[in-house]
Amino acid sequence: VRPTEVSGRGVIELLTFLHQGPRRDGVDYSGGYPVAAVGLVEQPGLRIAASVAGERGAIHLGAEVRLDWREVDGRPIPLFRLLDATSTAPVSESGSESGSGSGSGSTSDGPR
Amino acid sequence: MSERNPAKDQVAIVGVGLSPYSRDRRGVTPGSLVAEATVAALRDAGLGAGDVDGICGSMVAAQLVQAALGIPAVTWFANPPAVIGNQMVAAVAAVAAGMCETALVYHHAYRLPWASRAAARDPFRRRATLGVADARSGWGTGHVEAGPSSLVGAVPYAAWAQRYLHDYGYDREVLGRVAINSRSNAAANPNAVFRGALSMEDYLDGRMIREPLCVFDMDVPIDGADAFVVTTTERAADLPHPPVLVHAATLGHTDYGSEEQLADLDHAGQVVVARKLWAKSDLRLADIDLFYPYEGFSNIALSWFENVGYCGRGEGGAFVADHWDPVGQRILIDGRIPVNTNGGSLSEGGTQGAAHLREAVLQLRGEAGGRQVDGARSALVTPGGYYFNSQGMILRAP
Repeated sequence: VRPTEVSGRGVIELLTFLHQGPRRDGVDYSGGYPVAAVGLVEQPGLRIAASVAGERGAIHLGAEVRLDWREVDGRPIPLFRLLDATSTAPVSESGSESGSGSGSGSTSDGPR
Repeated sequence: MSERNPAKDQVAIVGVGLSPYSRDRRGVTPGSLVAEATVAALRDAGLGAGDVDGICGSMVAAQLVQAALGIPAVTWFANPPAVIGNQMVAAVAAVAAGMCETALVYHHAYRLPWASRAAARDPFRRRATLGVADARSGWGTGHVEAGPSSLVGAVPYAAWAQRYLHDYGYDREVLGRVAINSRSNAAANPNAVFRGALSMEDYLDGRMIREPLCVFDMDVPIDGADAFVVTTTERAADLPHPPVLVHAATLGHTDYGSEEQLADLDHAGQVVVARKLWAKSDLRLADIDLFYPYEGFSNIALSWFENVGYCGRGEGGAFVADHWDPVGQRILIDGRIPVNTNGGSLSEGGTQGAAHLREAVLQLRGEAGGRQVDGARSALVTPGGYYFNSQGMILRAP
């Protein structure tokens, strides 16, 4: 087992919106706080869980995302950003491979 | 998968007892709830402390129960993590193997300050649980408070529910029917904490908690406990109630031990449970009279319908709709088999499958009062969710 660098790109394979939960800085439950498990493009079935930045309507199963970071209390917290609000890939394991071609935008393209 | 089942029908449940379920009890502790339930179970079995030589519970230490009840000597004890199948399967194995002859089995639920406003106002409860973010963290099953941006513990059930609706094209009504079924059945259960009617309109208006699960999709926090007395079928013949035989029992787990890494619902522990249970059992699905699929989250029950064989993957939502009794507002499989007759975790109260098991025993003894299903001879009880606690038991009348 050894650390391996990955692109941070993936597809939302599991998703919920939390309407209540423990109080935390930077977490807003009004309207639903998104939490996703993202399947990384490098390895089918390997998922990372984090929140997703973007408009509520654009965050959905199959959306392509890229890992970003935000700082809360001086600590880096992983956060995914939408690559392209219109992209949709299948949410099955193999979908993370087939979906990697269409999301060519940089993180700055994603809605904030 | 091996069909070996030397314990088949050799061990019986001969006593049940409970500490009544409540949403607003005060002045109780986990220990007092378990003491009340275990004493009741022993009395129900017509046995005394001196007859017990095995103890198997969830969070309250076996030694504490032994001391509280004055059980002079035990030769076997254990505290496996919740949920109830872990305790029952261990006790059945211990009795069958001769580690003990008569075992007490128990599980309790205790509202922690975060569970409800009433619990948060109870100063005793706040002090008793000081420093415990989530009592389930002590279960050793991955239930931890890990912050709102993770998918561990209870939260991923909502994410898997969303994925289920997405993949099979359902709307929330398929979850709602599970909740309404539990509520309709709870009306006849005096121990249920929610007994008022629940309509689909009520359900759809329910406060959203974790999409797509609303407040009615999630088990009710309560104080309460259940206890069972387990002994050999041979010894059971001398006891006051008709014994309920443990025909087949199993646990099930896959190598996806982490919720967000579970590949799909074909790789969940429920699949392992169903395969093993039917391998060990002489009874087939068509022989089952009562079904108790755990519904701590409503989507878990739909998955159980699929895995035990009532329908295929993704068909659980449609199956429940097709087998809906509009008069009783509940599920009636083939017009015959009721589901979660006690009101389940969603309406009797959330005790991680213990209430389902107790209800199955009462039904098979013919002692379920206004809920009694005529001629019920066998029950399929499937506690637990997807990841680390899937379990199954087939119980039958002798």
